[in-house]
Amino acid sequence: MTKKTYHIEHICRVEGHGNLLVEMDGETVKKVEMQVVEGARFFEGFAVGRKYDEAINIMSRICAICSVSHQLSAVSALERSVGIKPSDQVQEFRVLLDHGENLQSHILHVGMLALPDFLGYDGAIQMATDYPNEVKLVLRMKRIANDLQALIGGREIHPVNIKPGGFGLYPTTHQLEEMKKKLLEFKDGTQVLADLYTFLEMPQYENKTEQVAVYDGKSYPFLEGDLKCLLSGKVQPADDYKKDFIVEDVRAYSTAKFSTLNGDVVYYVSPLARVNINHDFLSDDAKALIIQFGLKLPSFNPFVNNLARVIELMHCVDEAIAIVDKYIETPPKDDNKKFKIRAGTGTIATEAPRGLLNHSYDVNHEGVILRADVITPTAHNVNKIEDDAKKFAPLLADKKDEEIELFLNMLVRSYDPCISCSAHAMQVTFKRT
Amino acid sequence: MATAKPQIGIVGFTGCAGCQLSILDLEDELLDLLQLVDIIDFRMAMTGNKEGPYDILFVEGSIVNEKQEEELKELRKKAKILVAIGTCAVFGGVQALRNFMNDEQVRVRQYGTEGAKKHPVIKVKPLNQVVKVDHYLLECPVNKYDFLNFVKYVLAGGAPKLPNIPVCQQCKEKGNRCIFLEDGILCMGPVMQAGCGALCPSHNLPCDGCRGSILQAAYQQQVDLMLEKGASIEDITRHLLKYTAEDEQLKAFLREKWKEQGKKMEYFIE
Repeated sequence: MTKKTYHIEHICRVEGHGNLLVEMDGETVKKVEMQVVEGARFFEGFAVGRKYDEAINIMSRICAICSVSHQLSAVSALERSVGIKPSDQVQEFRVLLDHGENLQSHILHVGMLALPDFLGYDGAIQMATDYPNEVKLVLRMKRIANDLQALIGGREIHPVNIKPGGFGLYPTTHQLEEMKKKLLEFKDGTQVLADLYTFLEMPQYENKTEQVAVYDGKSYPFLEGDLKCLLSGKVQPADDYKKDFIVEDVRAYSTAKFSTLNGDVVYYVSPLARVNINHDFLSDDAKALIIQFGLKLPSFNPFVNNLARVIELMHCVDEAIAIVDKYIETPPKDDNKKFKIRAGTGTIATEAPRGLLNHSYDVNHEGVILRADVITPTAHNVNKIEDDAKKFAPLLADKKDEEIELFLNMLVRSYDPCISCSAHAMQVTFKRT
Repeated sequence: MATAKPQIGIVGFTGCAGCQLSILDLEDELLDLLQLVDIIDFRMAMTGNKEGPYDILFVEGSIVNEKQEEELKELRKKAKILVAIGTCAVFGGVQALRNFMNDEQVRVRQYGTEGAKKHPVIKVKPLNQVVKVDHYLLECPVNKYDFLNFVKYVLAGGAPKLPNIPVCQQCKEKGNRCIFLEDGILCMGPVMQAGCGALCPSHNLPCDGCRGSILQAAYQQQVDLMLEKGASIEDITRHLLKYTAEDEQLKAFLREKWKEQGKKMEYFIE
């Protein structure tokens, strides 16, 4: 019997610092630890004592790649806690900004972080010599997604334009018209990428666990809704995310907390969970990609997340174009309303690019934060990553060590883990003992 | 192949990875840049990385535990030029305000009483409290054009200087209405380092102070003005130190202000 440890230290092409330890004895997995080693920053600790409007920009610093999601979740939950209700226009521009982030995050992942695995390169930089057109297309699409984030958010990372109740500044009609041309170009690019991904072979592996996504029964929601479970069909109100639902525990080897449903059920949040739960509400061209990929839903293969991201690229760009069109037709009005605030609790469930995100706050009558709670997508998923490694590693037992390490890396990468986020976690260690 | 191209590393400690992401956001310039330099270590973007030696090492993030201190010291040995990029590396970042809070309480809030025991922490440190830093690039996240210009300067054999002018000046040049004086909204523009093009005030929102303060900043006038607009010393300190709690010059000034009021600045946030 060969005993081996695969310790994939500092998993590359993910954001932040994490390690995956897999110890195997022949085909038996002895031990799996998903070690999130990102230094802890204690956001929930130091948000307390701040005024609600000061905290919005702070919370985006949990993670750069999902800075928009964190900022929009924080502003929405804090608005709820002090009793501010944003207008429909504000909500639509928030969706537009959020789609800028979804496009940016997904194109970065499918184009620069995952594609090199399938084509056999260290990274997009190394891919550029052999695939110049593909790399240029991806960079162009990434630029457009960033332009959208900068136009609505004021900056590509960590938006500066968000305030309670609305935005500091709205784009002009001319800016929206220019943006529309770019979004149409992005849409064409998405089809080119989809055609490329149609011919890539995703590793065959399924892990039938529960999946959770935000659900409202009428749209493909990102910024607001209840929590829906794929297998049980349960719909949990967002406010009750911790009431007989999500349970977190702290482990010494990880700065990210581990989550289960009710203390024992492993669950999964992701673009794939969203597609599984909400595919009826995708745009027509996004639905067409499900057919083009020959994708059978629901899917329980984490690698299919890459296809789910391409499907969402299409959906998000379609929705972004529709919003831009609307406000080219009728330009947005300024938000100059003064708000009266009250003490209260505000909770929201949103979908960051990588999956479910929860923000919840208690605020006193002066607007000072008394309690903050954030569960990030990667924190939701660390348990599932361990569960996957336990089930996936034995299937690889006959492969060479380098291949095993590559597949374990790809498995973790399929989550697009946002490790800064979860330690508010990568490195894979594989050991055959 | 000629190997005269500078060997560049981009690494991150504790932060949001936004500075590394900013570099990846140089979509229009990235491929040209790669003609001029070799990126040998950039774990966020690629596999097959080499740990030095580096001609230029860009380091993001703050230092929050002893292991990181040791790693940073090792990296320093392998780097000819070490550049701190972004507010965490330069001034500690948003997490550094934790240094002014009761450490145990902060940990308990995050991980619970039992959980807190599993995650001891040290003070949040900017890089220069651990190693010698050769250059600083500002903003949260780092301004990608400052990064690009820095590489150009080094390739040309020089080094860039901070503009050392306040955000206010760039804001005035843009002809923005002053929301600090006119609306009483607390704005850090008078004392913060320009270079962002007065980004926030140009969106009708106050400067949040993410670039850190200028040298010889008019702190006294800033504090007086904030007091006049109804802010307390606690409010002023929270605002000025929001991103830059380990800005030694600013910290020393504020400490004096607290003394003048007969209060202690330690643990000023409940």
